[in-house]
Amino acid sequence: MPSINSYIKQSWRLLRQNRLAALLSILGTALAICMIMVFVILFIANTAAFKPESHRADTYYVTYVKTEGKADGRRIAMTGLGLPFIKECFYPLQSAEAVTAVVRDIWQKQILLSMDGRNTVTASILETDTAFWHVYNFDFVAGNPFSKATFESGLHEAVISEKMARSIFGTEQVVGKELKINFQVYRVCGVVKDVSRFADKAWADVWIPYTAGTHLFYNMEGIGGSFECYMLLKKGHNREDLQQELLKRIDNFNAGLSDVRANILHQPFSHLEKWMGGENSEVSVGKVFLRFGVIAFIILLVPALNISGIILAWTRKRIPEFALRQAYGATRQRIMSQVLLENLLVTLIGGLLGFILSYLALACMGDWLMITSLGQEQLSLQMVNGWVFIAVFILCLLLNLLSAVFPAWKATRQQISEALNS
Amino acid sequence: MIASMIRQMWNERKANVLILLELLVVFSCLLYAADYLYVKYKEYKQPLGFDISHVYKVWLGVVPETSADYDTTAVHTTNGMDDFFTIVDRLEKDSRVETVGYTSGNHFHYMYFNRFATFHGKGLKRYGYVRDVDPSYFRVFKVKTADGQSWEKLEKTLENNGIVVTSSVAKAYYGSPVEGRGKDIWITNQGDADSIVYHIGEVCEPQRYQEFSSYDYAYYRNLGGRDELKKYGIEILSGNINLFVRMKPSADKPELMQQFRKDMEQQLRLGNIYLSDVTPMSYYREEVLRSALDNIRLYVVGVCFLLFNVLLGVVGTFWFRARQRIPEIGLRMAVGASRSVIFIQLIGEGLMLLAVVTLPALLIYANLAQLDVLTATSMDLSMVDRLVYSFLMAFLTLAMMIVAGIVFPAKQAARLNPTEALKDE
Repeated sequence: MPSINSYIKQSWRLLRQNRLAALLSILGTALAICMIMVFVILFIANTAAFKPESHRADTYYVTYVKTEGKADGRRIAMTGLGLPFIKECFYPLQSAEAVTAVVRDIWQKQILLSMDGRNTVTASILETDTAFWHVYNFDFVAGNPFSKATFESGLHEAVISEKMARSIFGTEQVVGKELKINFQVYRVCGVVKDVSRFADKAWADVWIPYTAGTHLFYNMEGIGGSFECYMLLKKGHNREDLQQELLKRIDNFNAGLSDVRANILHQPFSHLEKWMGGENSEVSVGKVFLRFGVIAFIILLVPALNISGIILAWTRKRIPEFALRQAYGATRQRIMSQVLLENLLVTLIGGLLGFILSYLALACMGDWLMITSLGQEQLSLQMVNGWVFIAVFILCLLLNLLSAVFPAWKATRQQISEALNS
Repeated sequence: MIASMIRQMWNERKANVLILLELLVVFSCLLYAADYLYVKYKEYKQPLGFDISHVYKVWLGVVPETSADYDTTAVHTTNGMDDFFTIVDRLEKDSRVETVGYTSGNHFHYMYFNRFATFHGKGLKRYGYVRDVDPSYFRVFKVKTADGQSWEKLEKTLENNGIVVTSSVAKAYYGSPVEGRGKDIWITNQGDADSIVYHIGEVCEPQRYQEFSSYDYAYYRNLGGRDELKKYGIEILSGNINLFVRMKPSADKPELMQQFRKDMEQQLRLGNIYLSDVTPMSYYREEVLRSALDNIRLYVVGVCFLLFNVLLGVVGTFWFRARQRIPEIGLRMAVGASRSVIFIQLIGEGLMLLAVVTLPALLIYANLAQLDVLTATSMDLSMVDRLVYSFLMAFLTLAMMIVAGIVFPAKQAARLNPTEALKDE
């Protein structure tokens, strides 16, 4: 009984005999795997949890609110959330472990100045509260988040990123030092590791208490404002609980208003929904996955048909060989598994090549291919773990099955006598 | 010759199943992708209704009262907006600047800062936007009138306290853009319970937010003259006033802009107002278009992937086939077929495969169209055009790939020496 080793040796020999066929099938496999890998890597980078967004699966987002006329339901405004609304409906949520409110001005960077005015840099500022440091899991290089006391009394303290610390002070050990943000003096209380742009909710250059900021205006009886709200689900509660509780609180809040009412439409959204649906559409996750599935299937099917054709032409030549082996007592299954195994070698070589290619593609064409997802930041390898390798292996198996089962089955269907005759 | 190609294909029908199936799948996908690309191209090509070339957004900051840098001298605290208008005048006077304009917080092309408005009348209700702008807005963004004249008339209209509506509004209510001129229209502004009647002084060209969105219903009204604005404190500068400059084309070069920014940083530090940034409008355009362009790139990558696979498949199939048929080819050549005839025969066989899958692919495509899964667009594109263009694009690129895939094996086959080929037999 021939060992797997001998199969591999034999298929290696076959590969060398049929160079063009081998080249075509390896190229085809590599390309397919590369395509799928690029998607998988991007999907993981966009949806999987990594620091500081370590709890992505349990984080829910409310980023806008519709203000309606109480009497006629007319649309009055579509804005960010107002602080009274948040304090009344979001902060007290029982089914949430932590609730944080943030203000982010994505369009305008602010000026950071060293106290002597010599070093200046523009930075993205995030105004937030103390719960933010609970929802997100930052790596502090020095110092700490601003404290509750600081937050409550609106003291000017700031957490800054390593990059900012270096450009303003030339070093990271800057806790206690002062700098100016928009001409106001802030004391640095902590320095954190730079955050990947993929973490688009936690990301910023500088984090300050919103009580120290200037965004405290509200309107429409407190519904509207410039805040977004992120909620971390409490253990033992599910999304339904959160949504129900939130809606109940909003109803209570609305009851106390005179002319208007708040409507959060289909929110809160999960991280996955937010990524798939963009900012304000209600896209069903199932539909998006179905779409992904169809795309992945086509990406695998087309090269599989190709490779199938090549293997078919190639096994046809070997039909006498198979027939001979069958005549000597090899079962059909054995021969089928031989063909499958032989092909697996090709698929694995192709898969490995595709895997390497996918990283090259992301490195070289990242800027061109998907600027949104990659941002200015290059992809970091830490986001891609063992799961990706497993995914590649499974994909290889799938491709192998798709492409080799049909020719293998055909190869063994031939009548022995007929095959030997030819 | 065609008959012999068909016969050949029939003889190899079993071996052709896989390549036919592949062509069918790829053809259907290409039709879908070609349609998508066609629709996106058409959307992109429609006029925007404004011109952002050489236009920059000037970001002004206001030193907060709590800052040590806050200037408390009376003149600046009471008449802060005077400083703003001094800044506007200084920019205007600079030799590198062509013109200056400003809008309120509710209008900024590419950025979705909105105030909604509902248009009424004639039993029609249209949802759109109200845009409070200084008349100079039309000059900076070179907005034309509905009949293609330059901005002067639009600017005049706002100065005379009429409103300017976009062509989309005039068309919906009065049948044609120019008919809207001089009419009255009822509008409810966002937040108000009642509607107000406005006098339409002029109609501007149709406008939309960005390259892939549809035309908006919107109207422009005067933000208020300088005296009106001076009633407010300078706080309104942060978020409620957007200042834009159009540079002279000769001055709009990166190094020159850097110098301009530096000069302005000094010149525009006035009272408690400071210059925080000068950002080209193209920056906002890129930010907003990113995801749409990303999607288009993904489609292009997908199309390339499929085409490359077809190439591999065709090379593979025809390489083996040409080899198997060496004796046959040799015989043909021996009885007088020229090299080019052999070459054309092989290419023809490949294209015949494509011809066979064309009908089923079109059927699949028609079904997709029926199911409404084709690219949705707000633009008025004829379905026939979409079908014809996407078919041509898909068919021609596929045909090109097939020919490219066969050329190599066919050349090899045609280069055969008949005597040698027959010797094999």
